[in-house]
This record gives sequence, C-alpha cells and structure tokens, in this order.
Amino acid sequence: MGSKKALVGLLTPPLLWLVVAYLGALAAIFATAFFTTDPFTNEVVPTFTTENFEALLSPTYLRIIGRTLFIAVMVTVLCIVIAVPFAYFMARVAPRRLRHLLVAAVLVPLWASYLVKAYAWRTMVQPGGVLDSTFGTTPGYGFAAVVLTLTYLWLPYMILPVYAGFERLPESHLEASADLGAKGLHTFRRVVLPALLPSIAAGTVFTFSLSLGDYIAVQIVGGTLQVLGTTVLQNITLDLPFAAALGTTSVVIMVCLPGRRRAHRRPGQPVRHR
Amino acid sequence: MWRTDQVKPAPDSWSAVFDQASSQKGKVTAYDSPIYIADAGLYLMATKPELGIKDPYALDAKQLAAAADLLKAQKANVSEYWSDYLKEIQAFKNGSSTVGTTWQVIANLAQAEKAPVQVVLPKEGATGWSDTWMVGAKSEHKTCAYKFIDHIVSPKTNAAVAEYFGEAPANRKACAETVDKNHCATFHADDEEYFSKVHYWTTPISACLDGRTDVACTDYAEWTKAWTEIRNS
Repeated sequence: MGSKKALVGLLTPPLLWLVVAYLGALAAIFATAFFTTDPFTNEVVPTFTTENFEALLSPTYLRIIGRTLFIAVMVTVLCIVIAVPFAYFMARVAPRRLRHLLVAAVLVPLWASYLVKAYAWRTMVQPGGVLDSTFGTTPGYGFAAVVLTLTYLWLPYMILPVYAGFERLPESHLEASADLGAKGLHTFRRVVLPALLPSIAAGTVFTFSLSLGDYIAVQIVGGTLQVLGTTVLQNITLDLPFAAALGTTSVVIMVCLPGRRRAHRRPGQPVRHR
Repeated sequence: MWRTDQVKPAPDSWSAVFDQASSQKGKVTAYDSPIYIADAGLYLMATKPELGIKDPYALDAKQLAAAADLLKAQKANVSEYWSDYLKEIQAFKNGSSTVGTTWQVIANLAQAEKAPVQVVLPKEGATGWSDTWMVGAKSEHKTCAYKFIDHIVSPKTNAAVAEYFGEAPANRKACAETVDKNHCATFHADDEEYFSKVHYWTTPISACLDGRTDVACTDYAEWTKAWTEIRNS
C-alpha cells in the first residue's frame, strides 16, 4: 500500500503539469478559436461562432498555411539529407575519440541563444555579408534565408536521434546484407533506411513542428515573408480568437503527421531480422 | 529615413516610398503593423483628393481598399518590414534598406553608428503617437495614484522618461532638465509647426472619427485583416 501511495505521489505532479499546463492550454486555445471579440474594446466575447475557421479558408490564409508547410517540409528534408550521412560517419566511421568530439560539436550550437544564431544568419545573408563575399551571391532576406536559418537551428535535433539509430543498428545486419550480395546502395535502401525510419521520424517531429511554429527567425531573416507564426503574432493582441484559430491549424497539422507516417509504413513493413 | 549616398535627390514626400518606390526597388522598408495603413491613407489624403480622406484613421471601405492597393503596389519594392529598431538600424547600415518610415530615435541611433542616413518630416505630414500614463480608476489608493501622476509629469521625471525612451517630452519645462541639452531640439519638442503636421494614432473604429455619419468606417480588426492581405499579396 505504502509503495502505491508513493507512486501516486510521484506521478501526480508531472501528470497534473501535463494535463493542466499542456493539454489544458491546448483546449483553451481550441475553445477560444470559437469566440469572437468586441469591436470596440477588442476583448474576447465568449459567444459561439465558426467564422474564425471560415476566415482561415480564404485564399490569403490558405496561402500562409501552405507556405508555412512548405518551409517545414523543406527544412525537414534538408535536415534529413544532412543528418543521415553525418550521423553515419559519426556512428560508424569515425574513431571513438573523434566521435565524442563530433557529438560535442553537434551539441555546442544548442548552448548558444536562438536569437544570437538567427541574427548571425541575418548578417551572413545580408548584401556584402559572408555568403556574398565568399560565393559572390546571397539569397538575401526571404524564403531561402528562412529555410537556411531554420535548417541550421534545428539540425542537431535531427542528427542526435539518427545518430542513436545508427548506433543501435547491429553490424551483423550490414554484414549479412553484404554476404547475400547486396551492394552498398541496396543495403542502404533495404536494411539501413527501414531500421532508421523511427529515428528519422523522431527527428522530423522536432524539425517539422519547430519550423511550423517559428516566428522569430522569420522576422529576422524573412524579409517580406509571412508565415503562420507571424500571422498569429499580428492578431494576438487584438483578435485573440482568430489567432487561436490560426494556432489550431499547426496543432491539427502536427496531429495528422504521425498518423500519415504510420499509415505509410504498413504496406511495406521493414524486413525484421531476428 | 533614407541613405544619403543612395537616395538622390533627398526625398521630401511620401512618394519616395509609394509612387516612386521603384527607384529603390527591393530596398524600401515599412513598419510592420496594420497602423501603417494610416501612412498610406495620409499620402492619399494629399494626392488623391477625390477619395475624400479627411483623417487617415477614419477610412471607409472604399478608402481602405485604396490604401491597401497602394501598399500592395509598394510591397513589390519592399526589402523587409521592420518591427524592432535593431533590425531597421542594421538594414540601413548594410544597405539592404535605403528608404522607409522610421522613428526619430532610430535615426539618432543609426547616425550614432555612423550610418549615412537622414530623416525628414514629409511635406504631406506624418503619423505619430503620444505615449500616455494611466492609473487604475478603481485604485484603492487614489491619493498615491495622483501623486504618481504628479511625479511622472514633473519636469525632471518627464525629461528622464523622454530621454530614456527616445521621444519628445510632453512637459515644456522638461526641456531644461534633459541631460543632453539638445534633446528637445532633436525631437522637435518646441516646434509646434512640426507637430501640427503629425496625425496622432487614434484606433480606427466603425464610427467614423472624422465625423461622417453617412458611411461606416473600417475598424482596427478590418485593418489587421487588410494588413495580412497586403503582406501576402
């Protein structure tokens, strides 16, 4: 009995935190999205309306949502493309000491402030900045700069799970594949990639959701670009219900994401080597 | 504000960022807020009298649409919209912005950082805002609240607030109390002619602020939606 009580005592605070602070806040956002505001005071008026969601379906907002999704996809794909070979090198090729050094190198940028890193990119892409003087051209402020900056910011969140995935991958699987005559690319496609998928999925949740919700880097390097996050910011003081409806879309997108992923995996179940 | 080495001749009109913005294509900057629509309204008030704009904060649906069209045309020439002053100073220093709206305090800071910039009050006038202090109407300590107001508007405190924040003090006597003796001159605090051309922020509401009763004006929520459309045009 005593241990049961202790368990309850141990789990209650974090559970309360999760339910009240996380889910409660989400529920509040969702509920607010159905309210409206007083036109004179801009205060929230709790009367039920779906007009905030209807407004989201106008071309302007659909384009914002589409643009934001596209950025998130681009950032995630770039992160995967960079992280997989890098993590492979870290986990499989690099000697032990170098491996630790590389892990540290991946982690170090996480210690620096987000703002410092975003502003650093602002000076790098500016006319006459490092990119301009090194490559003779710069994308300038805008879409490309946002994708570059976000890819840089979230890359560690992709590398770390993929690195862990490579470490868990038994050497014997690769050897077996080679023994059975599979070439490098074939082994990668049929053995490595399926085993890595959960790690890539884990990394994707980070890079995708962080890109979807970002509004600060966009303001710093985005030029005239507007995304979901900056639109929420623009509406939050005066039209909280509409801002809430906008915010709900990113939650809906994130909820749909792992669902689609699971559905995709079923037909081509990875071959399990046991 | 403009870069003296890139924008010639020196602009004296809002046309520099509207009708003639294409001469600085991709280098125009604008304040990132729905209230910036009022600046477009102010320009139309002077250049398109047929629209009948009397107050840049009282726009009916047709006038708002005209202002939005002007801003959408401007967007093709905009490098970025600014909301924090660090960003604007940096953009003018590195030349990614060469002309656009600003605050006096930003211009001062940019000049202090050796950016070759100048500011002008356009001949059509400008928009502006005055910061105000409020006390709670239901304060339990009303005497304290009044004492606070006395304190905050007193010349010495008013001078300190104005200098710290980078604005013109409201109390004329504050000008004698500033640490920088040129503060009031820099911010045109004594220049009534200057401020007669400044249209102070009044939040747009559906009842027209210019006294028209035959039409409904657009409120700030509509301005916000219009601004989002402009930003995504």
